Amino acid sequence: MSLDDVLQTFYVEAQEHLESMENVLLKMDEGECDNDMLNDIFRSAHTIKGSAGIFGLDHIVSFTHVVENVLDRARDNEIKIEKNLIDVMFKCRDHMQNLVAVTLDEFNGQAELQKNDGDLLAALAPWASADSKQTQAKTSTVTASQNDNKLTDEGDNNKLWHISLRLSTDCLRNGMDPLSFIKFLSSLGKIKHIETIIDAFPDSAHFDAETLYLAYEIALQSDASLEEIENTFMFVQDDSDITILSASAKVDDYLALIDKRPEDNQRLADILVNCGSLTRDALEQGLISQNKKNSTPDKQAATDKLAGQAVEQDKTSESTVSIDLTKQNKNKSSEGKQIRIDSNRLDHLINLIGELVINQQRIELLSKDTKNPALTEAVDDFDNFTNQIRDAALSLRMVPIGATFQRFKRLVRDTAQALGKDVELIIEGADTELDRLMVEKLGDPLTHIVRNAMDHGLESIEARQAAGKNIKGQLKLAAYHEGGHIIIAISDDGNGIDKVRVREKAIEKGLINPDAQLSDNELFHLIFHPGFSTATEVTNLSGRGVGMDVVKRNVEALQGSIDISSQTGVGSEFKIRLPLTLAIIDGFHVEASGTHFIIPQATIIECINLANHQDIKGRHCINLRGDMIPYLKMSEIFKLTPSHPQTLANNKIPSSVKRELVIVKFGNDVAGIAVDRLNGEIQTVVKPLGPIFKALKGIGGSSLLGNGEIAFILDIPQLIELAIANEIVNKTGKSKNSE
Amino acid sequence: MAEITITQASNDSTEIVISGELTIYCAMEVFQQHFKQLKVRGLTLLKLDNITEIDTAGVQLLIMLMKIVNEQNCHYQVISLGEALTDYSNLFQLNRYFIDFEDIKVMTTSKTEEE
Repeated sequence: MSLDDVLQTFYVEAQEHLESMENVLLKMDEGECDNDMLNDIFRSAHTIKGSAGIFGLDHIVSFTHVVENVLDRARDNEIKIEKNLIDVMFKCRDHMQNLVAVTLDEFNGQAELQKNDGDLLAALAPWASADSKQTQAKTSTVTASQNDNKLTDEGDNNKLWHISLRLSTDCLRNGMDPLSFIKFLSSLGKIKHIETIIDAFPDSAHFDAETLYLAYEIALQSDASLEEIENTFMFVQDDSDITILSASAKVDDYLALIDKRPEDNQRLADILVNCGSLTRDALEQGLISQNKKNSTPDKQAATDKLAGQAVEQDKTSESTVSIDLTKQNKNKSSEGKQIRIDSNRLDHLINLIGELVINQQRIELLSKDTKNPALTEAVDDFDNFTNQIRDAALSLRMVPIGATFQRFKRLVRDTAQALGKDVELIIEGADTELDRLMVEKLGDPLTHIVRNAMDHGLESIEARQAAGKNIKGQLKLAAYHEGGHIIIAISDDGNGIDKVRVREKAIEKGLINPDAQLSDNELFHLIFHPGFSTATEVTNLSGRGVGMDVVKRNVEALQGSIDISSQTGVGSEFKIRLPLTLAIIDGFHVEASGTHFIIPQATIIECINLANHQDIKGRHCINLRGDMIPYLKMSEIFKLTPSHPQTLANNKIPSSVKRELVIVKFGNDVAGIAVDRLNGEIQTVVKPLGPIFKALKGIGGSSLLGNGEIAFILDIPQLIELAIANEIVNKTGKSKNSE
Repeated sequence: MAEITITQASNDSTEIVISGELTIYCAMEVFQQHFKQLKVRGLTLLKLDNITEIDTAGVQLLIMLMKIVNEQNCHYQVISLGEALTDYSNLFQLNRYFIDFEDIKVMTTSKTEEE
């Protein structure tokens, strides 16, 4: 693992700990507080500090040290977790996030960040111990050479640990210097003795200046836990041999260590004695005890050599804590249920599987031409496995929406505080999984909707009281599956959208005529027009009319749509409907005028023969079992040139071409897509459209077919909207907004 | 980047002066260019007080340098350490390597007279 990789791991883990801190603080803010929560938040701060120390990120260490000190005092019941402290801790947590984002040099160059550092440390002062205040005073600007051996004056109550380090020979080459670890160990306690062993040095002809030849035996006096000491080496433990022995380790454990190490046994025994980790007497007695247990002649000779002389005395050691990190890590990894993978690798895998799918389709076509039954059967099996591989790979990229929802707890808390409102956030369906790429892109639209709901939807405490509502407003974030789509619903129990106000504003902005008759849904969708806002005052949160149009655009870019429902005095709901994934979808291959199209299968209700149904009054609309279904002809919508000469000549469809109608549904709307030919189900690798096609309505992407031809993936929500709009025009002779 | 000056004195001794940063970033180059083919005569004096920054790769280079001197049946003497090396040496309790030289003697086959 290179230094960049290790640093990346540090940033990812720091982010996780910061999220964990925020979650604990949010619970504390709601009045919960127990020892487990205090331990959790302390551990998060401590781990961030520890890991930052290893990398010499002293600006993080010095600030987090004070935060950790305050949390430690709370754990020891020296101070109480109170509202003011929680507020400061939220700010400290945010500041830590900013600190993690910058290097030490960047920190020293940013006056604002340093000022914030100082301000927050001053804000923490009432809860911090005198010791940490002194540390704080010294660290207004941190220098890289800082080596805070803060525990040198600690009493003898600390435990004595022995750490035997045989770090990876690639350690230096990978950017990790033992210097960092020793510095960090000295921040955990006092290094009583360190023996640098140079026995592994080669002669000059075989010396590699970037290989680590040094080994270390360390006696550390510290009250740190085993886990804390282990964590010092978390970034190098995979390729290193590290043994940590506690003060209560048996002499046998030291003898096992001596046996395990490549150095001369007598020399290593001397080193351990020099370290003070065990006494000469204890060593000799242990050897005799071992000698008695394993009395083979060879072992006898070896142990006699070490012991020097026989002492006729048994010794019983205390309880043992002997940790061989290498072994322990092997156990950990075998027990581990989760591994961390670079998302770029997953994306690469999905892309490769996309290529596999295209090639599989090509092989399928070729096998059909050969009409070889055995080959066809083999290709069918291949198809089956390709589908399974595709599903398995796509599932790797699925992540629960819960983590995204959790982030809104903080946003809701801060926004409610800024607005002087009392708001409860309810989260439902946090386990619902969504493609990671979509989750990333959902953050901004959700933020806009949540802010708007809090600012304009939910009423003030006084207004709610006057309306006889619970003074605590409710904001709900929910996620669930519906008809092959994911629904993200954001609802509130506020005042609802003011329809009269929306209408007035739309007329004022010239979006509709004063006499236009609009359904509620059409009226609500006006808020997605750029610059549209019904807010009477602009706040720093919302009301500028910037955002809702961007929300709609972002959701549509994800092949999704938004529905709004609202009831005056009861509340509003924004429903974002999204496809499960954007990478490879189950498609339905159709043709119109020789052009290939893919219809996402999740949107298809059924396919019917158009010849069996009469158009209603010459309009593109049929009566399907009592329902009026408007439809679109692909050849008309995309102005396709008919590929059949007969059609060209007399504008009639030849009998060889059947008119098929694919009935599709999105949300509550249903429409038909008229095509010439149905070619069947197909796995569709979604490729983005080039900029030239971006303006083309009704096309959401493209895909490569097995025969090498291009197929266009239909954007069903847009086409349904178009079919309905056309039907309104055909029926009334007017466009829907200008009646 | 470290600067290495090697001077063969007339009184059958060699003086090696190392200045600047002796770190992983230049360790390979310093070893290849200056130490690998190093020939010393008599007593080798190591002047290390101008080293401004040193890491573990740099310390390994110094240990290797001492070993090279010993491999040629010569002796060395560290005549100055400097702040960077002293800090590192204190943290790792390495003073005996640079002052007492016990362990260098242990690890090499030749004997030193400087003790």
